[in-house]
Amino acid sequence: MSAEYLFYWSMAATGLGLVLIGLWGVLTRKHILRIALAFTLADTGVNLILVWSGFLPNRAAPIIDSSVTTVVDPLPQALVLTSIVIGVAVAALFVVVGVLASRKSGSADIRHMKELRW
Amino acid sequence: MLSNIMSILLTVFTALVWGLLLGGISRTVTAKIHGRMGPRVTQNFIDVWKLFRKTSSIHHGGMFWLAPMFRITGAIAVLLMVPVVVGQNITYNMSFAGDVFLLLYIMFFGCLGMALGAGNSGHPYAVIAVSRGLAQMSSYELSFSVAVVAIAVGLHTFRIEGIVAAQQAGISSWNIFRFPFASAGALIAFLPMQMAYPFGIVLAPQEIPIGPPTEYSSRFLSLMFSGRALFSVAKLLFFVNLLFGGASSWLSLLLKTFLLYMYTVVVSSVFPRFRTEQSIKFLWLVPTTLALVDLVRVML
Amino acid sequence: MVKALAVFLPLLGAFINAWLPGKHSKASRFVSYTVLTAGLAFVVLLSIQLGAWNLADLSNSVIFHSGVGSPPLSINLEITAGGTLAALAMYAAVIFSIHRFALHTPKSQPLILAMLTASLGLLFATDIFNSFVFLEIGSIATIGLTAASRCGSRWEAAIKVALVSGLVTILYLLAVAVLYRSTGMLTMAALGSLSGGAAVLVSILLLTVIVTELKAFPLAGWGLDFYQGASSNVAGLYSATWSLAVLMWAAKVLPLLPIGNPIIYAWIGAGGLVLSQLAGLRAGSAGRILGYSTSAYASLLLVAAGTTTGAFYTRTVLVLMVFSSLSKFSLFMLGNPWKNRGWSGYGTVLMLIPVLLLAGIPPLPVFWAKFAFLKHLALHFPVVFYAVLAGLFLEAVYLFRFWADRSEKISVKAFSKPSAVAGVFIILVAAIWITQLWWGQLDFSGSIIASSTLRNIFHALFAAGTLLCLPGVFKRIGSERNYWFWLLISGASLTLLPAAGNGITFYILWEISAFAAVVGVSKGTGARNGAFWYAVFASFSGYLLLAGILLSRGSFVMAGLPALLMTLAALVKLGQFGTHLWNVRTYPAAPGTMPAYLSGTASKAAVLLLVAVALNATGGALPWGRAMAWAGALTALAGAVLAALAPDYKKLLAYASVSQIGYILVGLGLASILGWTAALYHTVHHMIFKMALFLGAASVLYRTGTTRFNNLGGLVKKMPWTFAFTLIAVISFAGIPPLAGFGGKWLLYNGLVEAGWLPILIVAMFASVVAFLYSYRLLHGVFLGQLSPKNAHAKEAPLALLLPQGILAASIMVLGFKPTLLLNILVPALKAIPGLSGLAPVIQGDMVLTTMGTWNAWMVGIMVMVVFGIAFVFYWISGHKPKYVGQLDIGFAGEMPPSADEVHYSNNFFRPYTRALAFLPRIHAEKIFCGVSKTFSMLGDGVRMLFTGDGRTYLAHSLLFLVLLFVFLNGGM
Repeated sequence: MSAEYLFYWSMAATGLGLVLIGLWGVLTRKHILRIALAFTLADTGVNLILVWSGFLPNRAAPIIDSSVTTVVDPLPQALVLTSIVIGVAVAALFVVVGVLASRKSGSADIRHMKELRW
Repeated sequence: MLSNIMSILLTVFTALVWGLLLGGISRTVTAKIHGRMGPRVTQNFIDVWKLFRKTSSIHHGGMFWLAPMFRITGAIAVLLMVPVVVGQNITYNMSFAGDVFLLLYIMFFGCLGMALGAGNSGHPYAVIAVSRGLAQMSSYELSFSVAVVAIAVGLHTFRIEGIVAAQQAGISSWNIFRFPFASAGALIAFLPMQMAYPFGIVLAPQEIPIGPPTEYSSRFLSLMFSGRALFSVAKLLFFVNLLFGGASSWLSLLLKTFLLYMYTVVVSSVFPRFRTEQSIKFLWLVPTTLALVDLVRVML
Repeated sequence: MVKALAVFLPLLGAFINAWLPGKHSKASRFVSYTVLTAGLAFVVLLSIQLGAWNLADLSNSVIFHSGVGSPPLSINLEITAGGTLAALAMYAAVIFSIHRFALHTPKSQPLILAMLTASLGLLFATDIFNSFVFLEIGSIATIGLTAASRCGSRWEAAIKVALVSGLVTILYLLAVAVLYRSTGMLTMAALGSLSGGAAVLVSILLLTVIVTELKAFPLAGWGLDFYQGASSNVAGLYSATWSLAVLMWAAKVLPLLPIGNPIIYAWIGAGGLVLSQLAGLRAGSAGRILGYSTSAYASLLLVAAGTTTGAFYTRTVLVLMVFSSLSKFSLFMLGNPWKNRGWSGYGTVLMLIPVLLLAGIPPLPVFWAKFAFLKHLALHFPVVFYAVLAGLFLEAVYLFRFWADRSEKISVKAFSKPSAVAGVFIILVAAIWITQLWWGQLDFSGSIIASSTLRNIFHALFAAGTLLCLPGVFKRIGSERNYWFWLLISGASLTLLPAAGNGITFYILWEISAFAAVVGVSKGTGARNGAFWYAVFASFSGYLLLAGILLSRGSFVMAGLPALLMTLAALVKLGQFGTHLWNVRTYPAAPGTMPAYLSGTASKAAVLLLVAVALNATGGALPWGRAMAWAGALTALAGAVLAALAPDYKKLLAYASVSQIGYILVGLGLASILGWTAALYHTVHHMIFKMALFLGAASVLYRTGTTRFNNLGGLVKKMPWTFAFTLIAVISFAGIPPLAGFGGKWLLYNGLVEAGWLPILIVAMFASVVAFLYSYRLLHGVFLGQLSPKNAHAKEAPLALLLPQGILAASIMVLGFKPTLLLNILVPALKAIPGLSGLAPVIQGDMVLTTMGTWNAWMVGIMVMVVFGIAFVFYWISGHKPKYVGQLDIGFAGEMPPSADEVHYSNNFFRPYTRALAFLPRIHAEKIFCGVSKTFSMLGDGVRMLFTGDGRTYLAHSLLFLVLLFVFLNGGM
């Protein structure tokens, strides 16, 4: 397996690993900010996978000049930009809401935010 | 047409006289059993006449006023629905117009009127008596209905003439022998129907100190006495036709009704009184079960 | 291109608004309204251009790109005809509600506009990645709006939405990556070209996302918490815009998922529907209840996606989702807990319309979609059909309870007048529009009752019953409100009922009459509880009827299960089998002449149904006739005993009504000519006397303000005519000759003996004897005995109430003396029905003969009248004229009687009877129902334990769902 392919698969594996770590963190952490962090982690993993989906081994980055003829698919990279921007916005909102919610309940523990249930 | 009217008038008159006389006899017999002298046999006639001639100065309202009329109308209606003498079609009066079901239901006409009058009197004891009476009535009617249905279905007719006609083949064809259990049930139900002890609770409120008949006086009371006598005879007549083969002559009619009446008088004199709920339970249980035996027999 | 402004104008408004300084709320409001109006205008233009008004064909669409390049970089929208209708609903909801935000939280206007844009974008998006962007904008707007409201639990609600949308983002982007990797495309159509492992992976990822976003059971937890925690303004706006958009989007994506057999959607949906609605029974807060209802509609969508396709699918989903979202919007807006000022009579009705919409009651639009959909299910997916029906009934139960509990608290001011009017107007127009579209199914050409005689009898019965109730409608007391309109609607549809030519027509008229009556009942004093019980039992019987009709595959009814279901529907409507609870709670609660209508007239609809079922299914003899007769006889007995012990006039009459209708069942169960003659004779008779009695009760209530026996008595002096008419009715129903009631009993007993059903005969006879108890109780408790000083002012009933009673009493007399008037019509008609067994009664002049009995009502009547007349005249002319004395002048053992109230015997009236009955175990129907409801509650409690309130649980649910789906799909392949 060439280095390119190694890179190719390790990118997918890293992405998936980050997603799984993120989900594990989301499910097991109790502190609201840690959950936010876990989400960001998973988000990063997802973005990696998204980039991976357009990755073609042995091709250059899609910066078009005369010398480059074979580039990777530029589309996912464009999409990832959108996704990252949205991810930042969501993460910011999450942290804000989380901080305010923990002020309201007097604790940043998500187990204490169970007023609404059943 | 004229003879029909004559027959109706004759039936009503005879029933009235016979009913009052039977009442007098019962009073005498009861007194003898109690070891008292008791009133004369004709005392009821005297009472009715005396009361009839007096006038009542007060009344308690329209229904109070109408109740004796309901009472007497109901009694006469029942009387006229039953054939009097078997074979003498002229004495069948109005019985062609209905069957046992009609008879069962028209018997309530007088009772209802009476109850309404009692209610209108505004006297609480009268209403207590009515509530007890109705409660008890609903229970003996159960056993009585079962008995009547058993007999009627067994004989394949609801028509009273038909029931009588089916009993004309000698004493053994009388329903009391053909349907002994139903008859026993009906005869037990007959006691509360006649307000006889041990089912005489309806009359109790008048002893508490007073009751419906006391709120009624003079001519009202006279009519109620007459109505009661008529109703009593009508029921006797019905029972004779239902269980004892009807009457083939006036003489046998008097005899059979007399004996049947004496049965209530004798039982009545020797038994103490049930509380209402006791009598309700007894009537639901004993006579109904008896009558059901024959009903099941008929169904099978 | 300019049409895309329909979608993006709100976004423009949002940007402008966000830059405006917060103090200038006037300016921002101006901006909001301007962009909204302009956007709405574009949508209207689009919808006209696409022919959206023709619901039959919603496939028209225009596609356009915006932005740079081609999708997915640019935004690619496909505006469909159906979508424009949903967009209209969204715009309408925002325009109606934005002023409330503008007042309280002016800063939230940009968020609202952003949410609208996200909703519109999602509605029209055809690209998977575009959808992602809109999904994120929607989530952000939802979180922001929730957090910006003034509700105490807003943070918690917002954090849960944020948690779930975080997970959704991850799963969704994973699906996007896999999709792009395998196909190189991101359009929705590309989903179809997936295969193998990628197909499974994308399917389970997207299905999990969709079910989570839809808030369908079992992934509904976060949505329920959100609805409960968000302010009602936010929740209302959310359900009309974002929630609707997600539903429509899911409807678009679900059929495209390469999941193999889409029936899996139906299983998830049907199972989820039943379970979530069980849990919904136990929900407490308004928001949560409506959340469960949202979940129900999400499940319905899944079922629809799994079982239907093509134009039918699009249309069904569109109607169901748009109108349910709008209804929830109105309910949230009406149920605003901040503004519980004052209360108005309109509130009850205003709130009932959306509830009826959600419950799918005809002729409201949701009904049509539900009906077509359920018909489809009944034909092809019977198990799913039963599950959906059960779920829908459970939903109806808690929605009606929600209405009964809340409608008093709502304020019409909260739902400001023009918008209320506009909302009602939209709903009604939509109703008419959709109704005319499907009008072809309504059929009055050939009635389901083939015999024109029977049909005319029922027509006359319903028309007369309604008309006789009408004069008294304005004689209301206390806080009773105007109900004549609803009485009229209900009566009119009942009058049409016998002419119905097919099942659907029958069902529609049946439901309209029932639910118009529910509204009528709710106008009574403190009657919402009674109306609730009526609504629940009416919808239960309605669903049974609907199931029967739908399972009959086009004919009105088929023998077997459909006929049984429809029989049960009639029995529930009649109040048999322990379902009498609703009669006993509804009749006393109903205002004015309403109970007379319900008991006397409306209950006969169920008799009509039984007749129609018997005639159409088997030609007369239903296989369960005997069981029905037993049920009728036992109910007659139990009803009579309970009536005798009832402490209230109207309650007594309600029990009496239950009891009397038992006889009708016995007669119909006989399936002989005699039995049916008895049943129909008694039907006519019951209508007459029960109306007279309830009108009497209405008169007494009108004059005294009470129906408790403790407070009544002695009214014969004050209301002699009412008493006289009541007396006639009582004598009649007690079956005492010579009035009409005896005829029914006589015919019935003859029929029972003919059939040899003696045990039933005995029970029926016993019940009729017990009837004497309550008939006397009624007369004495109200009219006889001592007049309470409290009622000293009472007068005779007004003519409007008295006249109908007089007419009814006169008919009782006529029918009593000349029953052959009716029998001569009935008997030939019944003889012509081949399915009925037995011999017909022979009518010779006034004489009626059966094989065993005779009855000559005319002669008996004449005899009684003559004897009575002679006694009366004799009495009268004998100069016996006693004076009337005061009511306390009674022989009271020499004592002065205390006050009239103390002398009036009213408590514990049939004491000996109660004592004699003491040996019976006290099984109350109420307790049985409590048991049933407790069982359901326990089940519901068990289900809702899933929703722990911990946000992470909901994430775990979604992931678990994903894993299970994976296992299931791989196992299935």
